[in-house]
Amino acid sequence: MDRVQNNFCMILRDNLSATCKHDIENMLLEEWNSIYHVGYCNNLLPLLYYKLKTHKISVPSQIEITLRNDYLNYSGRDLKRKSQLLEMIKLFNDNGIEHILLKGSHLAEIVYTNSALRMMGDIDILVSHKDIEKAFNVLINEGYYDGSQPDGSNIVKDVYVHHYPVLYKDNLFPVELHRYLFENNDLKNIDLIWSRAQTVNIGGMASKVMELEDMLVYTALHGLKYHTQKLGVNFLYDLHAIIIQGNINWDIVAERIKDNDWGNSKTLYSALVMTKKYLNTNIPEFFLNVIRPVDYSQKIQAIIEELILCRKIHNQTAYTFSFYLFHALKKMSFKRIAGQALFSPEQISSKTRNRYNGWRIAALYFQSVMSIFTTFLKIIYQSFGVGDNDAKKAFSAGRKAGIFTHWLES
Amino acid sequence: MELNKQYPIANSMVVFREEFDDWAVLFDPDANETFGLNPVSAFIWKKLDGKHTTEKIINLLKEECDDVSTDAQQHIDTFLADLEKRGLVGFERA
Repeated sequence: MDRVQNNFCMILRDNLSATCKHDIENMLLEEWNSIYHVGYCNNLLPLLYYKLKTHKISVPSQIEITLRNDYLNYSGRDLKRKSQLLEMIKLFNDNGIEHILLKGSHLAEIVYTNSALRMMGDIDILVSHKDIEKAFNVLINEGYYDGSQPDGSNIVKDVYVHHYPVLYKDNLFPVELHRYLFENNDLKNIDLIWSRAQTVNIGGMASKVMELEDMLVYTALHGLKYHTQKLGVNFLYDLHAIIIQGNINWDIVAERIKDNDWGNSKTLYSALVMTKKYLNTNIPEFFLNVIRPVDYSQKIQAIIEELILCRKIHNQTAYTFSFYLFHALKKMSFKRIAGQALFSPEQISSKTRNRYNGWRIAALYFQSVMSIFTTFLKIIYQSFGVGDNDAKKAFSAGRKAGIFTHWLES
Repeated sequence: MELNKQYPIANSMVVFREEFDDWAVLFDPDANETFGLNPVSAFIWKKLDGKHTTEKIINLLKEECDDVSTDAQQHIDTFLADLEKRGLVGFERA
């Protein structure tokens, strides 16, 4: 971890020593530019500005002006998001649709003290099985459209098993209606999550969110197991924000991570150790000792650190391919490589927004196979230590993520 | 009637969010547009309740801030005219 990364994490902490503050204020303009870049890459610019202000840290004026303008833009964007969310909650309530706000919407509305500090790109809502078709149609009737099928025909709702096709409406946030929490629905506790969900008041209307203990475990699992390529300090800050609410019952969390509920002590432990280390979050030592996996090692910790600090991966193709390659090699499962790399016609249809039974799909399928083949050649080329830095970084991160995922599943 | 004798009033549909640094954001849900306000503009916005003339707002501003410029009336008129043009503010006649 270099000085910039270290100071960035220090700024995000709740308390800052005088020595740290002095060190931060003495950074060169070039280092401040790097701090801004780290904030940008981690989707944390509004939080960075807020923390600099609350810690009363002197910042070069050009950086402060840029951060303030960014903050006001994000805050305006957040007001639009909130207005859209309230309209959706009203629609769902009027139509008797049971729903739970997920991810950013939950965090922004309930966990973060100021919703503008939690950046997000879409609105995720979990809808009960019995209501999801109705919810989808209610939004379609309100002018949202299925982005995967612009002409409205051949709507493929089973492409992404855990959520319906993304819904769009001009100048609004995309909406994902989830029926499960994860792609392969490998949770046994979805009914428990519904039964434990809490009713909350959002802008004068009733909605539901996961219980805080569930949200903590879900956030760790979602980030470390399912979105390893998107990990960043913002992931740690989400966990930090949940914990500093102060209402976490750690005994309940210890119960929930058992196999008959969430069953993910490895992801939670790895995530919490990092959160404590970088953001100095107050996590009881006894709890960490209770859930510490027997095979947790310094090597695994180093891999997680690299994954969190290496943002931003530009070459997603190289990353994804090397991730699945190494993960599959570890498991000796070549079927998995093929399954992840060779998209089905329905998946290609959804990703490219073409009708899945159209003639273009055959051409796109061929293009997909060729792309995988060239990527494979490129990875072999990279493995000899040549090529551009971004591809190398992506390749390395993908490899590490593959090893880490293998450890999680072992 | 002179502008400074009128009583400006904020559009009640517009959302005003005051930030931790005294800057603020306005959100017009009809137009789905947002606007940033500096601390002085935010102070003025909070007085647009149909009970203060611009003259009175400037006096309040002078009580609150140092170094209020002599052409403040002109600035506030321009600011209000801009808000009116965007449909964010209207005027109550005395």
